[in-house]
Amino acid sequence: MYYADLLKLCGWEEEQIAREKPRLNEAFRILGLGPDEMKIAEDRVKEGYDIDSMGVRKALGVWIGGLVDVVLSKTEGKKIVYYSYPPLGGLGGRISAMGKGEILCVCPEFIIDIVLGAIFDTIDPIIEEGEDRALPPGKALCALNKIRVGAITKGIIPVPDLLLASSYYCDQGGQTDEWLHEVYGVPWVVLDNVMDSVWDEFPNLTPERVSYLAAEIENGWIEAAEILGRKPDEKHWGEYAGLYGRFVAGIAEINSVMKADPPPMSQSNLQLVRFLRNATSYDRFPDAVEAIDTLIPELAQRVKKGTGPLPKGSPRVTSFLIPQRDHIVAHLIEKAGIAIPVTFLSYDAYTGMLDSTYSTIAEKSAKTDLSRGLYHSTSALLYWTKKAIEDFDLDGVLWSQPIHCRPMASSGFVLKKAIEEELGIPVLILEVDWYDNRVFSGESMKTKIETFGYLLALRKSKGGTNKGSK
Amino acid sequence: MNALESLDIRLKNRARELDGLKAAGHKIIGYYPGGYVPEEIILSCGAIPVGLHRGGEHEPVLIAGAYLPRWIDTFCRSQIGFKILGGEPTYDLIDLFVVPVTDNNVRIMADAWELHHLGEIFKFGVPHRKTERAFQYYLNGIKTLREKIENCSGQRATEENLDEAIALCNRERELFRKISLMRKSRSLSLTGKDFVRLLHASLWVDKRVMVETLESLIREIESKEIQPRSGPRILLTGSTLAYGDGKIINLVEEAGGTAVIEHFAEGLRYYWDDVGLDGKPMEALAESYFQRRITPAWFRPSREMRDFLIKLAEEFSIDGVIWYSLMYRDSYTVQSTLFPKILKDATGLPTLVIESDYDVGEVGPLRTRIETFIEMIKG
Repeated sequence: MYYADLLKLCGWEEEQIAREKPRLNEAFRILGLGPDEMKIAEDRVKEGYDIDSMGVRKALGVWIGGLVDVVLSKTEGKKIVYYSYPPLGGLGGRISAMGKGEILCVCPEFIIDIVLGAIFDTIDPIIEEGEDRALPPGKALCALNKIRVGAITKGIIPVPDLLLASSYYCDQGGQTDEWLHEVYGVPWVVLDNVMDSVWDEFPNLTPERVSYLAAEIENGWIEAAEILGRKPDEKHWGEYAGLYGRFVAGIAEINSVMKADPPPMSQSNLQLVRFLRNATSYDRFPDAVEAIDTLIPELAQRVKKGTGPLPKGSPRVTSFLIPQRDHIVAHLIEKAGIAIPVTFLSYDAYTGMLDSTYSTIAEKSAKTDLSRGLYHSTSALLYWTKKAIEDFDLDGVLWSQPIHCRPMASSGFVLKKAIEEELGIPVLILEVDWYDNRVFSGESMKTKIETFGYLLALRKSKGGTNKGSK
Repeated sequence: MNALESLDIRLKNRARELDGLKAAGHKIIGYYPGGYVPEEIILSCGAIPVGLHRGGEHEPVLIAGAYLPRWIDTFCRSQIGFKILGGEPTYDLIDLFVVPVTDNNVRIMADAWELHHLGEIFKFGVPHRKTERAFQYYLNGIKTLREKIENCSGQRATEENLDEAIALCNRERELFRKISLMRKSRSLSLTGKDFVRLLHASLWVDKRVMVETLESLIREIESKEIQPRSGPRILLTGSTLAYGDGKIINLVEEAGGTAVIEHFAEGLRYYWDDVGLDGKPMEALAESYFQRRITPAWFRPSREMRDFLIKLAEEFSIDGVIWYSLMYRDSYTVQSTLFPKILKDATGLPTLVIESDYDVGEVGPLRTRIETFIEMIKG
């Protein structure tokens, strides 16, 4: 089995590999992954990820298993539901819980980007296919949507039975779903909301936004169940919330451990873990929780020993997320002597508390989603970033500013102005595409990061901190 | 002096007129065009609505680069640029900027306006689906807008005032519709460029002046017969056709085509449908401005818009469609990859997709593409 070494490296047991052999053979055949690709992937995993950590290795394994599940889902007789990223209202998770073993509900582009992008480095032809079919290049369109279209039209993943789309937050995601709906006749369920909050409203929420989103979540759930021939039952929401709660608690615990100086692990590994919540099916979710449960004591052990990828006292920054298509960006930052103990998307685990002032599950879900900030407003994103700066005692912000993501388009501009003026700490904006490394220059990025690292180190050596340093 | 010449004079004097009105205590309310701000609410409070719809110039886009990323719709960036540059009376005079939050481009432009303290702003949301709860959300939004304008102007929008404003705007809409439908004829003296000029003027001049102008113009058109035009008939559509962005329509007409109907954020969406006068005015406004409004590309689904375009193409005996998008307006960009095939399958008509960032360097290549498109249709 030419893939056994890679899978073992990614936390699979020999017994599991043997049991899943026919599935793996078929999936890797469809994906065009032979012995050469496995060797390249092994090298990339060893070079890019912390393979001393079994938690990280298991997380890598969950991603690979997740891709195998999607590729084979049609032939295995499953109903298939795709949701686009970012997932709204937790609806994907609930549908996944509703159809355990029979419905596969995932965000396929995210899985493909990590497995065929970060691990195998074979994703570019899929993105190009998406560009040829629906989302032309050169127009700052999202690679995730290109991957969804490209993977379906190339026949790598099946045409789904249902699409869960959003008509707010991300215009492109909904547009891409509509494209698939029109071209392939796939039924779709659309969730709507309106990002019209005033600038300083957050952390308060307007009841109208919460109730509108809640009604959309509730309606989407009922509509989706009907299309899938299922009966919506609140127990599925509960089941999903139980497992999701364990996962979020694990992420919060990792955040807490990452406050240490030095932070015990590179953020490139932690993103792999954190994003498992957003993409994999409910059936794979217990494996994701197991990866987290394995990782936490490993991190605690490192904190006890005082070890990490960077020395104690290194400057500390946050970002929205580090481009995941290629682990090289996270390592470029660390090589410049900058630690990233937290990203916005991991920090939001703190904010996912349910509120008793709302009575229905849909209202609570809507409230949680909006409280996380991302789907609320750019000012909410600023609010949580400022909190993270305080919580993690950060020296700067190295904001990976996506060129492809319209909802996030102004985030770097806003953060730079507000954080530098209000907190007096430096903000560097790095123009990137999180999911597609064809569109930015590594060399130019390296120069910027190194200069920023030098500046932060100098500032820190002179006693500059985030508190009152302006 | 004909109606259009007379309108030009009114337009030239409008800034001074607005200055005078402002000095006399009237509030000038700027709004983001796109067909979702009911001007009737502003008028009923004794305030003066003006659409901020300047575009087509590269300098404001460049200037906006200090406040907004370049991956935002060109028109949205322009609004920040014109405000920063100054010298545009509309942008300088307004007491309040009303922004219906539709998609991320508009939201981010409004954020920049707020963050950089470019003036008082009021936002309200426009949902992206036509459902009962979306209708209620929009209705709630325009009710909050009414309160805001009332506070700003110091005058209540009574039902009587609202009905009066609706009747005035309905008259303007009716006249626009009448002229628009006249454009089905090949023997019409009015050019596409003239019609777009009228649409832009309607966002700026006094409503009563606009109604008088349109009435005079209709009388002039009806009294004048011209030889039928022979060139290809073009439907222009896309996200925004701003005041100052005349290149596409000029290039079409210079190449021997005639733009006979336009579907953009401003214009047709406003005049195609009247507001009912037999119920509660706020509900009637929400019905017309939201529930019955022809949808833009950012609506889900956007099929209603595509079906409407096909209907227009058939009813106006169109020979080809020009889809004119501005850079980074995602919804229109993605739709532009879907629409040409749908139109071709339904009508056999060709579509030319073009995109602009208001860059002067674009005109040469655009001329070549438009001339080729027109020649291809002629052939």
